Amino acid sequence: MSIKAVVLNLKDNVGVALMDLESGTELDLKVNGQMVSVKLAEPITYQHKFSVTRIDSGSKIIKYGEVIGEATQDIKPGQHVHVHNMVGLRAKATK
Amino acid sequence: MEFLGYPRRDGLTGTRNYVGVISSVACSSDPAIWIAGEVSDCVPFTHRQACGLIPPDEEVVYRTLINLGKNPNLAGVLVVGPDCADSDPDRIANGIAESGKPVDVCKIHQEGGVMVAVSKGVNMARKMASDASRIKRELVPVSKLRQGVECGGSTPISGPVTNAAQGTALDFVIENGGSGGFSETTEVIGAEHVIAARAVNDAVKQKMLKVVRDYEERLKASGIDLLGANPGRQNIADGLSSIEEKALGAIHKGGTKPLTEVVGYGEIPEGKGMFFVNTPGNDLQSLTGLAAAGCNIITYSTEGAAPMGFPFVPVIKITARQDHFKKFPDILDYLVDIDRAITDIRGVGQELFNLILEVASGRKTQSELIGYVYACDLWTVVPTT
Repeated sequence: MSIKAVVLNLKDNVGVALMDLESGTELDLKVNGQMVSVKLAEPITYQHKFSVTRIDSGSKIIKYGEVIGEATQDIKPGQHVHVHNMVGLRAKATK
Repeated sequence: MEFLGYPRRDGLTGTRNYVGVISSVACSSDPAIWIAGEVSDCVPFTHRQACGLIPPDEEVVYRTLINLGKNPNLAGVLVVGPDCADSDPDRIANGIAESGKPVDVCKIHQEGGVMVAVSKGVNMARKMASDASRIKRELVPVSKLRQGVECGGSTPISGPVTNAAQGTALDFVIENGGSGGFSETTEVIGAEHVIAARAVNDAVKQKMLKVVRDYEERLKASGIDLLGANPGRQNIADGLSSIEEKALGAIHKGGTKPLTEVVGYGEIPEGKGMFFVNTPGNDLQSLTGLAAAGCNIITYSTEGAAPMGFPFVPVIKITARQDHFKKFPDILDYLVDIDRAITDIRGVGQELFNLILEVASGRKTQSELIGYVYACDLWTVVPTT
């Protein structure tokens, strides 16, 4: 395997690590049709997500071109996106 | 595009040519297993249900057992059951007989001792297996394939890699006139709008949304916090952050074709293209639902290396984990390269489609080779009384 990370859909604002990636890793990714350089702000474990753009608190997290939840705090590019800073809309609706 | 299959009287095609020994009820499992064990090319289907059933389980369980018997991979069926008010083996046998295949019944209380009944059952199965052995494989078009698609032990990689591989292979099956579909309603919760949007008409769309809504309501009514368990602890450790993310990954296995039908558990879709079968996320119960839906081949993405197959439908198990593929050579059949799936999913899907044709034509899966195919279960919704 050589591909480090991928943005799965044109609309996505998160990428997926395809291997364990160290903090500071620089990635050239296709975001919304344009090549964007993203520097990881923290280590990202295999299969986990990181932001490829700035995502404001309350904004939608998009993966597979669909909403998978919303940010519960401001997320900078290259930051880990997971249960500590996002919440599923269904889970939020039941809380 | 063709494969070698067994022609059946009802026009369907088997990828296998077994005699099935279906236990009508949980308590007749042992004689069913004994009988099947004595005869070549004979397989048992056993389960834990069908005693003292009340609606809606009664109808669902009977139609599931009947439609399992109608699966084209069975050349003939022996129904084994007690002679008891709580089970009706004749009802199952009569239902299966509509397909035109040979069906017989063996009742364990009617012959003067269990072993006498077993001996009689062995003879019935032996005769059916002898007749079945005269049926030859013939070249048939891919339109005779019905692919069931299953997933278990999902990780964030399953969606775009192994599930996408299965979904793309399913697209190829459908493009060649075949049919197929997926199940596991609980796994769809959070992404039902995406599947429903692919429905061929509003009735199918509304039915898709309804099966998911009903499932969610039933879980809630039972006091189950689905959102508390989904994503589960392992899912979260793997990187899944919400039920939506998990479901959006799971539905990749349904490919990209329009949704033509939504059927209940144990029902047989007409098979005009891609369909959805309402089943639980429990893989054993879901596999049974796919087999009852007439699937003559099943693909199954499993990042957890689920060990089992199914008694009479070949199950091709797929993983993206190289370590598992090396470590469990007798569980897993196909390794998807992650880079290749990301860059060329059509190529991966084509390769898997070719494997499907090969297995449909007789190549054995790992679970078939080691006979790890008897862990079966049926879905019921009424609590045990």
